[in-house]
Amino acid sequence: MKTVVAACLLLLASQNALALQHHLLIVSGIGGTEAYRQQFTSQAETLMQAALDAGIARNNVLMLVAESDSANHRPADKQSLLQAVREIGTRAGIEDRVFVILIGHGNARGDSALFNLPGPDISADELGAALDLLGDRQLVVVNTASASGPFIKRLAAGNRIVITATASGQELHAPLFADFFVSAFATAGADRDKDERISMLEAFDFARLEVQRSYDSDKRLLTEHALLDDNGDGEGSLEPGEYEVDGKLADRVYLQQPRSAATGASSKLVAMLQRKQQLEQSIRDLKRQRGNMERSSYYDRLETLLIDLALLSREIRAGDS
Amino acid sequence: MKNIALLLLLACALPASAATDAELERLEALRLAGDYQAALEQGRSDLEVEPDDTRLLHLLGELELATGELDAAAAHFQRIIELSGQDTLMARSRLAEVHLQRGERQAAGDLWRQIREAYQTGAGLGTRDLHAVAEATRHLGKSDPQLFKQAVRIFDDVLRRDPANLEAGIALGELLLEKYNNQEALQVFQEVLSRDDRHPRALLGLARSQHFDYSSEAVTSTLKALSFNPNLVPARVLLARLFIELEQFDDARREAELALQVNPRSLEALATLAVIHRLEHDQAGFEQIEARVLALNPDYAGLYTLLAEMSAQNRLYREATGFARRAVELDPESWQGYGLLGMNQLRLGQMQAGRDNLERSFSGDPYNVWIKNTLQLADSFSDYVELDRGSFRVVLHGDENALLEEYIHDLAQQAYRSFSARYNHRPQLPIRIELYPDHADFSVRSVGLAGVGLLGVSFGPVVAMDSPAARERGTFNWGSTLWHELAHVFHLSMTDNRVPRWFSEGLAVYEERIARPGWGGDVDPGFLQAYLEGRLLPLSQLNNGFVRPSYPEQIIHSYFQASLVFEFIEERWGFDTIRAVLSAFRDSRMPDTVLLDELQLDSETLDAAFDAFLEDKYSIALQALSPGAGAESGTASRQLSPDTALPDKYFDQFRLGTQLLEQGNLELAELFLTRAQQLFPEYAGGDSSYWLLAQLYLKQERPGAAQQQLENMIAINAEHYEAHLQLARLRAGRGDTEGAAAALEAALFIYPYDLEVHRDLARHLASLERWNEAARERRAVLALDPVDRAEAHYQLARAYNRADNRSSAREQILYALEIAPNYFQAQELLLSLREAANAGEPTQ
Repeated sequence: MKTVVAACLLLLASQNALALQHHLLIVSGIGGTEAYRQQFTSQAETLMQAALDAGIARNNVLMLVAESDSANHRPADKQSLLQAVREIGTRAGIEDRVFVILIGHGNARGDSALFNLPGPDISADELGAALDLLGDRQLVVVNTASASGPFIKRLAAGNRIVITATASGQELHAPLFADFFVSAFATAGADRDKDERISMLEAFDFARLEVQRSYDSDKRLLTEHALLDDNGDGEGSLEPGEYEVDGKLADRVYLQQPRSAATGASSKLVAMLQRKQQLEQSIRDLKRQRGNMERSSYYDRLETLLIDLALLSREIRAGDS
Repeated sequence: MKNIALLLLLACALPASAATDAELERLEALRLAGDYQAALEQGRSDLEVEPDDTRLLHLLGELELATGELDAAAAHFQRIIELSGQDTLMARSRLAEVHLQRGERQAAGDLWRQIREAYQTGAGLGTRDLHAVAEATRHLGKSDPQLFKQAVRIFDDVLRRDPANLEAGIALGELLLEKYNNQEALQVFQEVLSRDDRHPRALLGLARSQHFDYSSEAVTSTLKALSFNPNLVPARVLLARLFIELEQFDDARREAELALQVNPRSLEALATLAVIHRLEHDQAGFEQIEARVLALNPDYAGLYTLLAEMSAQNRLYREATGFARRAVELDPESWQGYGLLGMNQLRLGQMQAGRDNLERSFSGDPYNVWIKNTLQLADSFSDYVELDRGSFRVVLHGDENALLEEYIHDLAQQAYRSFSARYNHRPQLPIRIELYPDHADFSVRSVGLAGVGLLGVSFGPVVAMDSPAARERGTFNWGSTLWHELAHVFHLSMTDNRVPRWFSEGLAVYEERIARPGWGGDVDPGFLQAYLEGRLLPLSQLNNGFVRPSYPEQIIHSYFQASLVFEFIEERWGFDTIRAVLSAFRDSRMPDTVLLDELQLDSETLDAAFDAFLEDKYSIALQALSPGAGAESGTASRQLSPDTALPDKYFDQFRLGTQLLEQGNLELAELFLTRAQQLFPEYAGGDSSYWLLAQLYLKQERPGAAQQQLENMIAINAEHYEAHLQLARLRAGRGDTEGAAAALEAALFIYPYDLEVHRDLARHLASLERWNEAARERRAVLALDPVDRAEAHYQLARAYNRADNRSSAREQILYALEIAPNYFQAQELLLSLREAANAGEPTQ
């Protein structure tokens, strides 16, 4: 049943989007201790599996792992990382979307910061220069390391989503962010709008709130403040949102690989899907008017629209099956 | 010897006169030693020879004051003033003291203002003059609190110029203490004592300072002061008040009467005696003393502030407000009176009136840290939500109201029903229950200061306690604490708040222990070792263990010991006897004997019977903990085999079992830990054999054995959060959904903030078709602000629907779909609800 809704959505998407491919580069950095090595590797593998489950082609996923025992992974040194970015640049189409996820330790160096790799670490500038070679492709970069905050300023640009686990280079304790960020794609709980896809904004919010809950539960002062920037100004927001300074783009970008459009859809189904879009828009419009309405009138009207939408969705599903 | 040195210094400081230094030294030595009559006889005789000797007049004035001969004292000080020589400022200061004791505030004020005028216009004042100025400034500070700072500066000036001026040092210490700066006051008293460690008033100052800090050393220091001056009236009075705090009224009366033998007009001794009469319900005796005090000083607000203070200490908050009100009627500048009135009004739940009076108090005495803290707390009351439901008004911080209110109210209601039936009594309603997520706020609410180690307090109709957020997870069971405090509500109500502390605390812990398995205190090795070493108090002195513990664990031991007393009484005499004792406390003038009268035992027999009960109850453990031949200290775990025979000593078996467990030798560890458990089966602390064996069995993949250990542990000690969670998992894994739900419900009494626990519990309850409870858990999930709110609303809607609460189900499903309009399961439930509504049927 899940695939029906996703396919239906795609029917109405643009032709460009239908051709779009996702490319994912996961880098599991140096752990320093066995416990961290295992943790980072496990998080990277979980994310990779989630990406494959989300439909990203196996050939479009690259995983670099420091201190890996497995021959399946490339080493995660700086040279390999830069080479991987170049490969993606060569392979990815101009409309394709590229995800780069860094999992590991980091540290600050002056105003900049480093992501720790075996051998020379990679700085925000060096990674920024490499990513710039990807041109105008839509890019999602997530640095889950400690002291990752300075990466925001260097990496932010138009058509990019940049997420860091910390707000500055001074937040040096190993963050919890990566664990929850990866979990957002691998377990239930992050899909707030129940569209069966996890947007970057949903994943960021899930991780941010669960990190806060974890610190609260242990009665510890929060020592990591994740940031998201998607308007290119390099400032980053602690609480981005669909209607906030940052968050609009992240709300629309999913890890899930957009599937090819279903073909041969009947005109009746297309009409129903158009009607569904209209209902969804009516609900959004109503929600915007909520502040000016009596509570009971608002919910009565909402219920009417939701029932129409539910009935229509039931009809679409029935037609599909 | 040091007192002689003091006299020489005093002699140098005083103006020259005809009396010889040797005579004056002898008189002063008699005065310091408390031999006032001998000193007076000799001094009066000397005065006939030297009627204008100012030093002699001063000494005589002080002696007359100390013995309550106010007219004579006034005459001596007046004479010094008339002589117009030196030292007249000190004479005015002391004469003002006489007026103050008579209630002649205007006359006293005139003298203080004259002294201040002399200070402001004169120059070249000596240290005794400045001392007098400091005293006058201090008294005038009552109307202008900024003057207190000036008084301290003047005292500092005196001591800078004359560091050996012990009288000024003591006066400065008293001023600092009066203004709640105990840290510096203590330093000052210690400085004086470093110059003369036998100075009675300095020792008294030290005792007061220690009392300020709730230290049991206060008694020792007071007794030491009295050993050097047995007639030091303020020391006798302090000792009497310390006895009142212990509810030892006979001892208190003896001390107050001794004080009055020295000074029959001592207002503070008479006020103390009035307190004793009042607390003993002797209204006639109280009124007689009250009349005596008011005849001596019609404006003496100190009588009523003391009555208010001591009434509050004895949990008589309503009486305390009445007395405090009398104090402010007599003296509109009794800032202490307004403070006591306000604090006790807050304790009775009269929130606005209490706050208003605290503000009045603080405006006149801005140094009072208790009032300041409480007013700051009162400012935060707007962050709290008050909800009236049934018999209770529950007050919770807005951040946790949605989560906790239901649990608090449900448990409170259960406790109310249980206690109403058990005690056949209904207290005044509503009962106000306040929970504070910050322990410092609760601490301020209970005593006005941060840092008190209590978990909860009951003022009668008002209960205040830590919320579970105020403590580390796993260190606090809010459920048993609330049960305990509500037990106090009944005890206080049944006795008009006239129940001894040890009795109420012990009975409340006993109520916890029988309310649910594992609640309330339980025995640990330290308690039984204290018994074996004779450190547990006899029942007649058990109050000391709460009020003035002599070793760090004594409070905890006293709580548990007192609870055992009630287990013993109910077992031997039945609960009717306990109810009868509570009733008797309400009217009795002799609380010390109420219990003994009801049991028809003397104190020694009761102690012996209780000891026998305790020895029988813990016979195996006492044997295993008693001194005797144990394993050789060098016995190492690697030398052991299953056949190794060790003496039946708990610590030996436990130590070796623990070592073996750490080494991974699970088979042998099980053997020794099991032996330890057999030797002390009642101990189920977090480090006990139950927990260790449960972990051992989990490693051995023996879930049944692990579950049994956890169940046994929790039946004794239900405060171990992880134990509840482990037990829930084990039960669920073995298909015992009901048991798993019970374990998670018990865990919520320790830590209700874990979202997953509520979700798991909701799932268990749903599978048991306990839909109302499942809905409660789903509400808790929402209150914890999950990331996936659509899912949380949907699950709550589902539970409501199954519980036949269709309107709430509709509301929740709309919330879910408002967030996620295409949420398939929620859409289906919405349609199902609509169809059911159209058909007039419940949905499934």
